[in-house]
Amino acid sequence: MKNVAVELGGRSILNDIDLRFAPGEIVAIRGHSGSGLSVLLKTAAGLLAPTSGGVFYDGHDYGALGERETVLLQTRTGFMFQDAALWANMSLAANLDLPLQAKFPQEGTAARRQRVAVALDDFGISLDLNKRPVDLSLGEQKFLSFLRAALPEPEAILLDDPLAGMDDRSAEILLKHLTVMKTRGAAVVLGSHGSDAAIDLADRLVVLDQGRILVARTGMETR
Amino acid sequence: MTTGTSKISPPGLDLPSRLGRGARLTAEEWFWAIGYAYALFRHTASLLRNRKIKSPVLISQIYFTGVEALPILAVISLGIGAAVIIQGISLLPQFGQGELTYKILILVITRELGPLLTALILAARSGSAVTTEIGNMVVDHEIEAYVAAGINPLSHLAVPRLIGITVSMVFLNLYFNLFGLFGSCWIGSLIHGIPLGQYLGSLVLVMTASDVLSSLAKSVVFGLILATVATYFGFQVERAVTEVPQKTIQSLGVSMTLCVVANLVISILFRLG
Repeated sequence: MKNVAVELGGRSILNDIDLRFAPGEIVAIRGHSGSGLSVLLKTAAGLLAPTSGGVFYDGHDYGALGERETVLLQTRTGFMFQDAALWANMSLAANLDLPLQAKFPQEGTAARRQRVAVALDDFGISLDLNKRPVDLSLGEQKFLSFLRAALPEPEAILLDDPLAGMDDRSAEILLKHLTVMKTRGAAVVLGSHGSDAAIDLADRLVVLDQGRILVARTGMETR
Repeated sequence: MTTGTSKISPPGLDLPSRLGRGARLTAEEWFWAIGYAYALFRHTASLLRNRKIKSPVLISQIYFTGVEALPILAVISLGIGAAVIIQGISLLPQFGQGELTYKILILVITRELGPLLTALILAARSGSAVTTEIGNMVVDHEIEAYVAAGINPLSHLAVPRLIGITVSMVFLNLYFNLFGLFGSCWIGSLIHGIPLGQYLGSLVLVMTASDVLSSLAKSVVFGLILATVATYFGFQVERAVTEVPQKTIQSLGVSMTLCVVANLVISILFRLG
């Protein structure tokens, strides 16, 4: 993100944001409620257009891309929403399957189902995939939102306050998997409103206050 | 009391600028709406060409819009057809114009009220539902989730609804015609004792290809209007759940108005042609 500023509804949300996320690195961004954390993560993911400045992914400027190129680029990244944002009118199976269809369009239904089954097995989770999101607790929905983002093996994953509302076991599985993703070379960006276990995992800590970067530290300095 | 530096204008003085600003905003909205319609039609053509329509969404849209609307349409078309035949048969023979009953029936059911009433019912039932559904998805960040997953919401949500509503509109219009024309025949035979053969024979004699084509053209155009307007206003919701009913009301008003205007335009074109 280069010199990014974002205004929403005439109100300045982010200012002078210069950030870079490298492959194989976990970056934690901490900011209290209203600090612009969610907006920063969404802007970094190309979901919100900056008012000024530029957001680049692998050399591609999101602002200069056409519709098709943007969609293609989005399949290379994953995003876990603060409020899960699962597709309410679909089964859990469809929630997990749709991003896989987008990422691996050549794969058949059986292969995609196999991917989901293997992942659930790896995580040690048994889940009735015929259920709908409304049948799950918020914590379970958030974990499914994480699965939805992580299953297509993204090169970069951005997580908005991932551990809030999540039970200890799910949080442990999530953090463990983030470390695995890091070792596979993915860039992991963790947004957090408090000082939680996610921040301990980070190689770098960025503190956001009133839409500006207040502190940027390496992992050693953070600990 | 105002100070010497007050910028408050006398009442009415800023009216032209307010009107100008309002006109500019309206023009901007229309510009966006036309751009949206263009994008939606382009996506639809592309997905149809590549046979990549999401069939579960399409099927559920056809079921909700088409199948579930059948009972209400049957009652309305039967009622209108019966009213026309009862009034026509009572009134027109007094002026020696009994044969006109059938022509009026076709004009009312096939050419005018059939497509228009079907469209108005679909706007109220399905159009408002689509706007509400998409609006709520925006508020719940589900649309952002589509984008984040590399799925174009227009292709995944709007295109199947456009096709589903348009296909449903065509078949429901046909259904309305069948019920309106044959239902009125049944009522006519019950009340006035008109023989079925005579009734159907007279209908076929006065019905022209232009009547059928006009009805078909209207149903296609109305379907496209309803789906485009409904999805457009759904995506217009920005953040708050309170925007959803506002956009739904706007969607209903705009789609009904556009259908009435399009009905008039198509009627004129078919009269001229």
